[in-house]
Amino acid sequence: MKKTILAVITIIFTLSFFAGCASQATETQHQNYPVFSVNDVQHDPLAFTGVITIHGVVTMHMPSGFGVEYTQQRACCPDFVLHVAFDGNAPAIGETVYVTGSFVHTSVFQATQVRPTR
Amino acid sequence: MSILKLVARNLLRRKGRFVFTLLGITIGMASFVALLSIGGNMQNEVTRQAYALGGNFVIVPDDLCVYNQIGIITGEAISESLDFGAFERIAAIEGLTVIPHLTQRTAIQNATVTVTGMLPAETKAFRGWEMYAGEYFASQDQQAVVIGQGTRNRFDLEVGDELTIRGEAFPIIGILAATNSNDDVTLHIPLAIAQRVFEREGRISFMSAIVDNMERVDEYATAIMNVANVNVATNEQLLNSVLMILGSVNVTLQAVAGVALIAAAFGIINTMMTAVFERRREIGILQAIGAKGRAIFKIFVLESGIYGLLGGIIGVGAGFLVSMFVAPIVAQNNEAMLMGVTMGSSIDVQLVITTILFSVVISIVAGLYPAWKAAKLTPVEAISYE
Repeated sequence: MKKTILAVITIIFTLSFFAGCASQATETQHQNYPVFSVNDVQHDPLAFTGVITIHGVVTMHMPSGFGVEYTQQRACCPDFVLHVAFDGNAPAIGETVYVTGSFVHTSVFQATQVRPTR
Repeated sequence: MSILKLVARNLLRRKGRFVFTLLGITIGMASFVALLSIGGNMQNEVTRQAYALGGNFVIVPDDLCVYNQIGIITGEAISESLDFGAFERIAAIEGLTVIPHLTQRTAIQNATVTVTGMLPAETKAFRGWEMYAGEYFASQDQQAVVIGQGTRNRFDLEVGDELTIRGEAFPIIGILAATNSNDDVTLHIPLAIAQRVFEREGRISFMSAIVDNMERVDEYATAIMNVANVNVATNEQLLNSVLMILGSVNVTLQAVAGVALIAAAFGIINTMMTAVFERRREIGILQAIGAKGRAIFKIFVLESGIYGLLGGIIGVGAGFLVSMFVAPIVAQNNEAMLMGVTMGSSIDVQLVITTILFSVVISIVAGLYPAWKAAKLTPVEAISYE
């Protein structure tokens, strides 16, 4: 009986460990690309080349994607909404996300991957 | 055998238990010291940056958030909601020297860099800049960039190289001598060029001002607010806003470190109680050969104190090491790492002594109850224990 309980506990811990590693690996995948806030990129988007990841809050849905704002935007400060073009399902409004992709022209960020933060 | 020899022998009798109990207090003290040191150094750095702004006060939009006020000190891009006309009206006030700033952001090699649009001649005089290499702007309409030492070192740039800002070419014509401020990690371009390139015509982010008579600062502040819809903050006021936020964060982190210390103290209590239980016979023998309760008490308190002393010394060293490596990473968004700032690398002697004393006191207090239990044992109880 004791051996059975020990075996079950070991299996649970092992599965939890690997599940944790897998989720950490997925999280790290986004962060293999440099991560920026919306505030970092809004002034000169085309200065950022190649694939990058942008961190922000989804504030609106658009026909071709969604809009993302700086996570620390305050009511008294001017809003800047980054237009993200994405072929998949847009995340929910209010969700904080990591968006990986690249700038195709000044005002549009073409996303290849969107992942909500925990 | 002296008490000290006896204590040392008792501590090292079970080396594993000694090491793990010591680790508990060491980690607690290390985290306490690291957080204190990082927090203290961040406050010093913010203070230094605030005074490096130059001038006696800063003129900001009336509705500027506290968060954006922090950006003035850290050199981040802030909203450009002041119009240039406000600068012209304020600059016309006698006894006041004012310079405007337009802060924006760009990227070099996918790393964000602050761009500041400024009036070249006025700003150079205001800030007392000197050139390290190349030349300074010849006019306010020159489409060129002057960089600081931090930017030069970070991206390996020299005079003659070309940067692209908002798709337009900006040749580097000069490199400033080190200022030990955010100017070292900023790209400086003429204000008119910045306003055009970033499509912010007629806009600025904030202004810095010097008064000719410090005793009339309040008069000047009132005069400024009469001619423009702005807020006037002295460097001290700006600093206090930022330090208030930093202070709250520091207190929270220190509370977390305090919890680690309390856990370590309970670890010492547990270890000493186990030691009392295991050494009952030994305590009984000591009492039988003439040791008083006071001596038994002293032995156990000394053992606890040594945990605290050793844990404090090692913890202080570990804590400072951690703060030296972690502080630049923590301050990354302040670009302190780029400037090779001294954050986290100074050792406060007072902090060292206070921390070690604190560690010893906590450990002695933790050892009081077990020591009392040991001293309370009668020789008969102790010797008859099997």
